[in-house]
Amino acid sequence: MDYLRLMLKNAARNHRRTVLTVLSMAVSLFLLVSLRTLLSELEGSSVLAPESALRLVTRHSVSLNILLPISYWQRIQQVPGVEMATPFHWFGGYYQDPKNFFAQFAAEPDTVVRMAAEYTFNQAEVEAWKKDRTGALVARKLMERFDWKVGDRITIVGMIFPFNLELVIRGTYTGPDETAVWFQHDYYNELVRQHLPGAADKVGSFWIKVRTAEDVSRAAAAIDDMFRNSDAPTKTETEKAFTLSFTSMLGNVKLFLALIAAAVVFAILLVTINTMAMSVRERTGEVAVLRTLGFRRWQVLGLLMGESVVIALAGGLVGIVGAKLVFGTLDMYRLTQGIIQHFNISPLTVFLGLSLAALVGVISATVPAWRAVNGSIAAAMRQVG
Amino acid sequence: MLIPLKYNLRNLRVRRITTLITAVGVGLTVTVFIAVMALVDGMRNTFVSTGEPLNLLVIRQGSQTETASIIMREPADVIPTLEGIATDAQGQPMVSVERMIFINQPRRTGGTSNLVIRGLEERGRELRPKVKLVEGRWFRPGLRELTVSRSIAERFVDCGLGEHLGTGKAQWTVVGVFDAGQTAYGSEIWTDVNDLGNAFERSTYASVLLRARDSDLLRALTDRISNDRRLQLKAMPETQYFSEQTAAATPIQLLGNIVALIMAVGSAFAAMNTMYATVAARVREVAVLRVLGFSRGSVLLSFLVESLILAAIGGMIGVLLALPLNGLATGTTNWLSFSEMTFQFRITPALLLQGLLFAVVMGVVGGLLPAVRAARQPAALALRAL
Repeated sequence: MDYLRLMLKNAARNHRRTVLTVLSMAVSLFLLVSLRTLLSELEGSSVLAPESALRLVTRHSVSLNILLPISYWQRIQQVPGVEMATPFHWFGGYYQDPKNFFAQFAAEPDTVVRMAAEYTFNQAEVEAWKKDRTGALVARKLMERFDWKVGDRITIVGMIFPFNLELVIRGTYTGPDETAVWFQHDYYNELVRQHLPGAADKVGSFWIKVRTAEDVSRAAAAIDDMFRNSDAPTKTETEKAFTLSFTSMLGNVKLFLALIAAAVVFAILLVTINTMAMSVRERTGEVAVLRTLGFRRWQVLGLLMGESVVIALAGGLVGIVGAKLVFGTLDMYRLTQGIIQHFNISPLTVFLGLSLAALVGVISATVPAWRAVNGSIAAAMRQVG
Repeated sequence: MLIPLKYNLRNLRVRRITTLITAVGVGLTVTVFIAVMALVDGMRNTFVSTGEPLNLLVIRQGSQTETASIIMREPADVIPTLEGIATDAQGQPMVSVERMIFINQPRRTGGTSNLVIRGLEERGRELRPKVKLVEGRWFRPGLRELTVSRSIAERFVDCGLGEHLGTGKAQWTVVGVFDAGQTAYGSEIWTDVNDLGNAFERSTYASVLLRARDSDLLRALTDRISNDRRLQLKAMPETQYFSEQTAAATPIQLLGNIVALIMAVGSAFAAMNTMYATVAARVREVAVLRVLGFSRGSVLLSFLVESLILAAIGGMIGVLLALPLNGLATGTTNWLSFSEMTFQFRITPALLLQGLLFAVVMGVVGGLLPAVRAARQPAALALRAL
């Protein structure tokens, strides 16, 4: 206990220096924690619910932009292990301005609501949606973003398809991913038949739920085998792999972020080494006094290292708590115009951040403290004035 | 009277380890700043250098990108008949009606990305003179042959010269590799427009590229096509289309700027720490300087200059660390079109200067308070400590 008090006393001795070191540590940890969270959110960590482990996505083997016949729906549902399937089709459009970009999916109301088990719906609203061919179910965050209310009429301008959607909002839903508009596949298909007959009766992907964990890879393989030699071969993967494939497209940008993080770590290491060296150097005399008083080398070493760890941890804590506060207050979804919808700093990230801070504290004190305790006491005492 | 610069330089040399450590901290921040800006600059440059001044690109009204555009056969057929289009040596109009298909292809190093296969008409190549064949030959119609840009050939599975690429039931052979300079076409795979249509059962097109006879006719054609309500098309100069695509770099730029700013705050704290220590260690020296007749102002200036030199050394280190990035090719997804785009880091003299300036700002911010402290120090009191 006394040791801790001595460490704290020492740390508090040069207020300004300690505060500056804590602050630069805090800034760096803030940055590291944010970068790690950004990467994990881009990989969909907050969007993928446990329920997604039993779900698959089937698309055309060439890419998502080449469509599959809707007739695959029935055939997929007959594959052993498949509990249910639903067509899910991305309609690239925008509301009023191309900047207002978000996902719109053509879906089949009965099945999609059962498929999205982790989402919450209002039963009456779902019934209203089912009855209205041009009806839509809109995610809560999206409703807030555009100030929409149930009953509003909205026009979604087609960026890919040469027609617009005229939708009536019939209800909202909440869940891990609140960025999309769901509308009836029948309505979409009718418009396609009028404007782009070649693309009628086709969808971009099927969303599939299997019965057990063992069925995941079995059913995926069975589906792809079934269509292997057809005109439209498929690629079936888990919902997680499907989500990750979008992050994979970022390519070297991920590596780039990792390199930036490494530069940050190295920079804080330098800063704390510098500070610790300065404060230990000033105390050469004191260390000698402690040793003449009978303190063992390792005790003094522990004292100096402990002080450094305390400062580093304090900095880490300030940075991480700061990050929690900042990202808790900021509306990342609005700020990034829908690119990032969650920004949750995970317990693992907090743990890694604090460990790193402690490690920096230990490393930066090692050399100066070692030098201090191994110096000649007599020589050091001579300096004490 | 000013305190000689030599005084500062000597001091920095005496405390060289501290100086170096602080300077490297500032330097890393500068490196990150330059690297991010070089990436953004490289992306922008790729778009800005794409396109010929007399070329006109036609896409569907409402579409933002070529890849998202669907043009029906009828309007596409009208375009070559319009007045004002340049003709080639054989008297044929310089028009290429084109298709685009995405393929999700694995990288040689792991992971996948969406690549664009562009189907061109014969004159599509003449319309893009910056694109040059470097290996093999150009694709021939009817044979399902591909000519692939160099960066794609190097980085993606089955895309190298002589390799076979399967897309569903169709099999393609890579017969050549092209170099697109630093243009956006450097991330594409090219083939014949009809081969592409047949393989994917597509009768619609994505875009039309044409060459106007002169700049007046370019404007006339733009208006003629965009204002024809039956066509439902949008025409714009090719250069304008690509410079609008530079918006794809904005999210990365924003992120990079925030990261660099936060790092700069951290580095300024570090510089401040070092400068405070310097001031504290030189209490007596400052007092002597004051007694010798140097004013408070010149003491303040002297310490500020020292901080600036420290930061400038950091800036140099940062610049040196960042320089090897110049010209390095990399790839990521274009957020606007969801397709792979390759580009090169681009470090310009102006960017290096910005990096140094960035370091200098850190030096001023970090050095100001310690310098004020040194200047305010009462000389008599400090001398008594002597």
